[in-house]
Amino acid sequence: MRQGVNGGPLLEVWDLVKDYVTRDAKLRRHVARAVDGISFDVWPGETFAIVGESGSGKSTVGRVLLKLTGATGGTVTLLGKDILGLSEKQFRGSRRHIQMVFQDPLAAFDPRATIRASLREFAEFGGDRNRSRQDEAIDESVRSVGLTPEIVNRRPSQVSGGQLQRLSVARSLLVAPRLLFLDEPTSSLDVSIRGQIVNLLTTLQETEGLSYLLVAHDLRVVYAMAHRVAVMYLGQFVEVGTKDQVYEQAHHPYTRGLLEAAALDDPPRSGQAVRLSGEISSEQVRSTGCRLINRCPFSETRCQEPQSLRPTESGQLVRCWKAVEMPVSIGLG
Amino acid sequence: MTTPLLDVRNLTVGFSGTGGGMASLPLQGVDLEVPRATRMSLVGESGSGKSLTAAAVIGMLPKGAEIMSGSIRLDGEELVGVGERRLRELRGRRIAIMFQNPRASLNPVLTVGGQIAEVIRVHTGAGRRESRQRAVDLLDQMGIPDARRRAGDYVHQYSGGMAQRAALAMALSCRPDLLIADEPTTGLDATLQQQVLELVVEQVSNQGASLLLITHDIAVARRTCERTTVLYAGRVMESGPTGSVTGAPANPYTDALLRAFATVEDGRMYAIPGTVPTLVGPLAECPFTNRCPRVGSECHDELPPLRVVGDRKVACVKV
Repeated sequence: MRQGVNGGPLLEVWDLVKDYVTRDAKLRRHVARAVDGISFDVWPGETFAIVGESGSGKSTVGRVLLKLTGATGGTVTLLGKDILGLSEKQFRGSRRHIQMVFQDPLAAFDPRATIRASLREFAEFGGDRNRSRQDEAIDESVRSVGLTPEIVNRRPSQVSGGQLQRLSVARSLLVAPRLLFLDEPTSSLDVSIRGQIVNLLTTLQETEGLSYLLVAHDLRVVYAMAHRVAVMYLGQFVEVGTKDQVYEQAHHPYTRGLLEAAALDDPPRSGQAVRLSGEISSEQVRSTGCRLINRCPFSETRCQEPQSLRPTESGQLVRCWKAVEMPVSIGLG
Repeated sequence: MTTPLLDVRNLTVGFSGTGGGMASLPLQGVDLEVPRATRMSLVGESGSGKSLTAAAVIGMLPKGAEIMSGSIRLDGEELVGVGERRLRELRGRRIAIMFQNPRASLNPVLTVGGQIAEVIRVHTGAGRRESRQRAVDLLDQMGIPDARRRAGDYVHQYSGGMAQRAALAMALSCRPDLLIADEPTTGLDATLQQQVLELVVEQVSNQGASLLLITHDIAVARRTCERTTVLYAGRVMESGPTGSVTGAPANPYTDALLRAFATVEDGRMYAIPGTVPTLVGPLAECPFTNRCPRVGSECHDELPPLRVVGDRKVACVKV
C-alpha cells in the first residue's frame, strides 16, 4: 500500500463550512449553510463514506474538495498541501491526485465523441503526449476495469450503463490518482449491475492502493465498500465511526432511522427500531440545538441546546447527548 | 373460483418501427392476476416491462406501443379494444394510478384541494361545499398537517413527501377498486419512502381496495405486499405469496435478484454477470439463459411456460 505524506492521511478536512448565497426578487441576501463545520480524514487505501438523504450536504463536500466550488471556511489538505487557498492554475498539479466518478456516466461523457477521444484527454492530462503510448495506457486501463479495448471505438450511447460506468472509472485511472471521489457511483444502475461496479472498485483498491471518498444513500453499497462511515444530516456529521460501529451499534436516532428504513436483512441493528416522522427541512439549519428535534421520537427540552460530537462507549462519535449519556432511555443496550 | 379483480393473460406489447414492422417486443405473454383486496407487487429491473404492463392496464401506452395479443380483464370486463370513453370512466372510478413523480399527477395551476374537490364533485355529484370538505378530510387522512390551510396551496409549495401524499389523496378520492402505484417512493429519501409506503398500505387496506405496486426494489415488495410477481425481459419468471417467492425463490433469476440485494462480506456484493437482453424479436428460449448460473442445454429448447409449482407459478424448465 502506498503511503500518504510521512505515513499520515492522504486527505484532511478540518472544520469545513460552505454557504450558498442567493438573492430574492428584492435583492435581499439569503444564506443557506450546506456544510456546517465538518472534519474528517481519508487514509491511503481506505474508503471513507458519507451517507445521508438528499439535502444533507454530502455532495457539496465533494464539490468543494474538487474545487468545483469554493469553501466558506475551514481547511482541506491533500498530500500535505492546503488546496483551498490555491488558484486554479496552482491546483492543477494536485488535481490529478483526486478524480471524480459521477452518478450518471452518460452525462459524464461527450455524446458525440468516441469513448477513445474522451479517454485520450485524460491520458494527455496524465502527462504523456505520445499517441501510441496514450493508446497503450488506454487499452491497459480499459482491461483493468474488465472490458475489451475495442469498446473505446464506440460512442457513449452505444454501450450499456454498467459498461459506461466502468469506462468512467478507467478514465479516472489514466491520470494515476490517489483518491477517487465516488458520487453515488451505482445509483443510476440496475440492481443486478450494481454489484459489478462495487466489486470492480474494491478490487482496484486492493491492487492499486486507491483511497475512496464515497458519497451514497444506498446503505447496502456503503456497507460493502466503506471502512469508516460518517452520517450527515443538514450539513453536520451526526455519527462517525467504523463501519461496524455505525451499522451494528448505531447510536444516533437518525442513523437508526436510516438503517430501519433501508430494510437491510443483515447486518443486525442495535437496540429498538427508530421511526422518524416528517422530512428533512432546511429551516432547521438555523436552530442552535439538535437539527433532528422535530423528527426524533426521543426529543425533549435539552435537545434545544447545542449538540457536539462526543464519543460513545463503543467508540464512535455521536451528536446526541441522550445517546451518549442515557443510551438505555432511547432503547439502546 | 372467484374471478380476480385484475386478470392479465398472455399480454404481448410491441413498439412499431419504421416501415410497418415491429421494432421491439418489450412484453411477451405476461400473465398477472390481482385478487380482490390484495396487495401485489410487480418487481423487475429497468427494461423488464413492469411500467409498460401498468400502462397497458390503464390504457395509456406510450406512443408507438400497441397491444399485439392477450387480454386484460377488470372484474371480468375485457379492456383490450374497449373505447377511450369507457376507459376514461374506469380510470379514477375503478382504477387509479400514482406515478413516481407526484407532480405529474397533480395540476400545477390549480390548488391541491381544489383539484381533488373537483374530481370528487364530477365523480360523485356532490355539491361544491361538500366536495371541498371531503377533499380537506382526505388530505388530513393522508397525514398532511393543517390540511384546511394546505388545501389552498399549489403543488410546488409542497415538499416531495407531502406532494406524494396529496397524489395518493387524489388517487383514492373516488374509492377505486385497484390502485396502481408505479415506483411511488423511488424519488424519495429512505425515511420518507417508508412513511409513504406504510400510508399506501394502510389506506388501500382501509378501503378494501387492491394494490398493484410496481418497483425495482424487492425489499420494498417484501415489506409492502402479500403477493409478488417477478418480471424479467418481458416475461413473468415467478409469481406467488411474497413470503415464499422471496424466502425460497424457485426461479434462478428471483434467487439472483435477491442475492444482489443482500450484502456480502469483504467489500464484495453479488452481481449477476452480463446485461438484460434487448427484445427485438419473439423469444425462442428462456430470456435468462445467457446469465443464469443453472443454465442447461434444455433451457434453449423453448420459451418456458408459467407453470403451477406448489403455492406459486414459475417459468423455468429446471424447476
